[in-house]
Amino acid sequence: MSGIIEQPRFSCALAAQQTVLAIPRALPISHSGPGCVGKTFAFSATGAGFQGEGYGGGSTVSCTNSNEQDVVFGGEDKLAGFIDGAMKVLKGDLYVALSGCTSGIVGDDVEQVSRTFAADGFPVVGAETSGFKGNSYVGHEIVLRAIIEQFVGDIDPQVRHGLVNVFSVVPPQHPTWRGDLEEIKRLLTLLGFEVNILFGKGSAGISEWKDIPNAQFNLLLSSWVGLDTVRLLEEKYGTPYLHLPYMPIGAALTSKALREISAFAGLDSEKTEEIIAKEEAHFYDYFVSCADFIADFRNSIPFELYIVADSSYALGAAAYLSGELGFVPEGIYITDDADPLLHQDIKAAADALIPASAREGSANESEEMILFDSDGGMVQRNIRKRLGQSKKALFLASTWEDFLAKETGNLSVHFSLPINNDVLITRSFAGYNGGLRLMEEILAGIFRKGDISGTTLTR
Amino acid sequence: MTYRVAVTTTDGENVNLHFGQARKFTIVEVNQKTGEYSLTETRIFEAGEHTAHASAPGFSESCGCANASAVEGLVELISDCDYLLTTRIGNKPHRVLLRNGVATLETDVPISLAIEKLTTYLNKQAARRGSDDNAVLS
Repeated sequence: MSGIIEQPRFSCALAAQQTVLAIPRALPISHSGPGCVGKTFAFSATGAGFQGEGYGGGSTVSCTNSNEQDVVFGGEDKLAGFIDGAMKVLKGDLYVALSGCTSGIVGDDVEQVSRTFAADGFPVVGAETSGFKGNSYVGHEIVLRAIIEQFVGDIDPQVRHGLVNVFSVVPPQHPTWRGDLEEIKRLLTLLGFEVNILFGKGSAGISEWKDIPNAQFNLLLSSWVGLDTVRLLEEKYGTPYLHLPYMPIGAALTSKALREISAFAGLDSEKTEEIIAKEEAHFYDYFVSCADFIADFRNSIPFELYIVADSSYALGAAAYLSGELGFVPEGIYITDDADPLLHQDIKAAADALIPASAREGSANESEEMILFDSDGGMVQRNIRKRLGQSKKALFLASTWEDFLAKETGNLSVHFSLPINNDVLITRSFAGYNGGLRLMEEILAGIFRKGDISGTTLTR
Repeated sequence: MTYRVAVTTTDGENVNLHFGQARKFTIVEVNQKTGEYSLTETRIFEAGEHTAHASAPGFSESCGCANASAVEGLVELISDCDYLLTTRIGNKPHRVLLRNGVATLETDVPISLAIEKLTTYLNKQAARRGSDDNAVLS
């Protein structure tokens, strides 16, 4: 879909360079014009709460800087030279050549150039991530497919019972991806699984990717991103997959997810229940400890919920906050530009997760709860309309909504890109611990919002 | 519609000289519509006009960077051209040329092939410009 949008929430398919960088010791080689890598990095990684360059990102991404020269004469030779050079000076376990718009339009075959290196035994993969192919989410999946097809390749799976591959976040398009993956891995390990988490600090790197075909099953914690990948893996290696169309946030949703995973994998349900009971006890112990605070500050704590995020996280957060914390979901704005064919599926998933009673009595009860729009201007216009004069709203959104929150006297908690006025390190909203952290962000947020009369903080 | 290209060549058929090695430029005029072209003239760089260009130490390896005023003299010589086709060029002359409206393309193919590709590119660009007039952003 083409058109001009205000306040973008994602970058282009070339942002897949961040997907590559999220794999330990994997390095992107960008076959794009000068500026593409820097801009993409600035939006995706810096704009995700200053996540840094990491092992080989930011200004050290190798790039062919395609120019007029490469448009007139083609840039495949240049790319080949760059791949050769990158392997000499950059220490990596996997090199992923990515095409930008220029090379995509000219018709340089990044994949073919990479295959000539792969044929000589070098760990090189090519992915057609020209910006016009789609947004960050699409680019992420293009790279997953390229690595699986060209690097993991056609091998006979030696299935290991209890081994699971996790496909979920789009690093760092989901700004809390690092902490979230740690929590997901922690929980799956508790259940007794051996986990290929694939991205981030908890991943062993390339060896995990080589191990993908041997998994008992693939776990997809995402509404639509990654669906093609797990289907590809089913087709290619016969690995079954479990698709949960949300990021589990908070106790109820996480327990539900763990039960489904446990049943799918054929685990002992009693043992699973024991683990869940222990985790829930821990969760609710902290949860209840906030009761005094919630009672004391009930007049300052928001309850009208607006979420501007991608479908997976929006559904998880809406289910948690409406189901467990009593928020009223006034508007959920899905900004990942999901295919319109998927809208019904996303709505159905939302209906299954968010209690129907959650919106009873709301002024916006008759309005659609879920709206699909990537245009921040349109989203905010709709929020303003629904908001009225309310000062009881919570925005789970980006830095863009900070301005709206300030103007309307409401609370904004950083939840989606772009986040340019916050630092995210291990912050996580996934699982039990993530649910507590999100609650903490919201409750503590009321003090950041401004002065509260009757407290010692009043100036 | 014609455009003009300066080429560094020894035989008039191949782009086979570095910018810094060139003491003369073959000027080619191309009809953009038909792709027909002709070698119209050869311009020779008079080293004496500026400081010793050809005899500067390291001259032949340096792609023209060795002497600033020599670079300016060379640039002046071809500043009425739209493109320069050469096998290699240093960063400085490349920039100075660009500032004078001459885009440099590095290549080592026969002149005929280079001109063909360049013409295709320019025609596509022109067609694109035409369609962009109707686009939202323009």
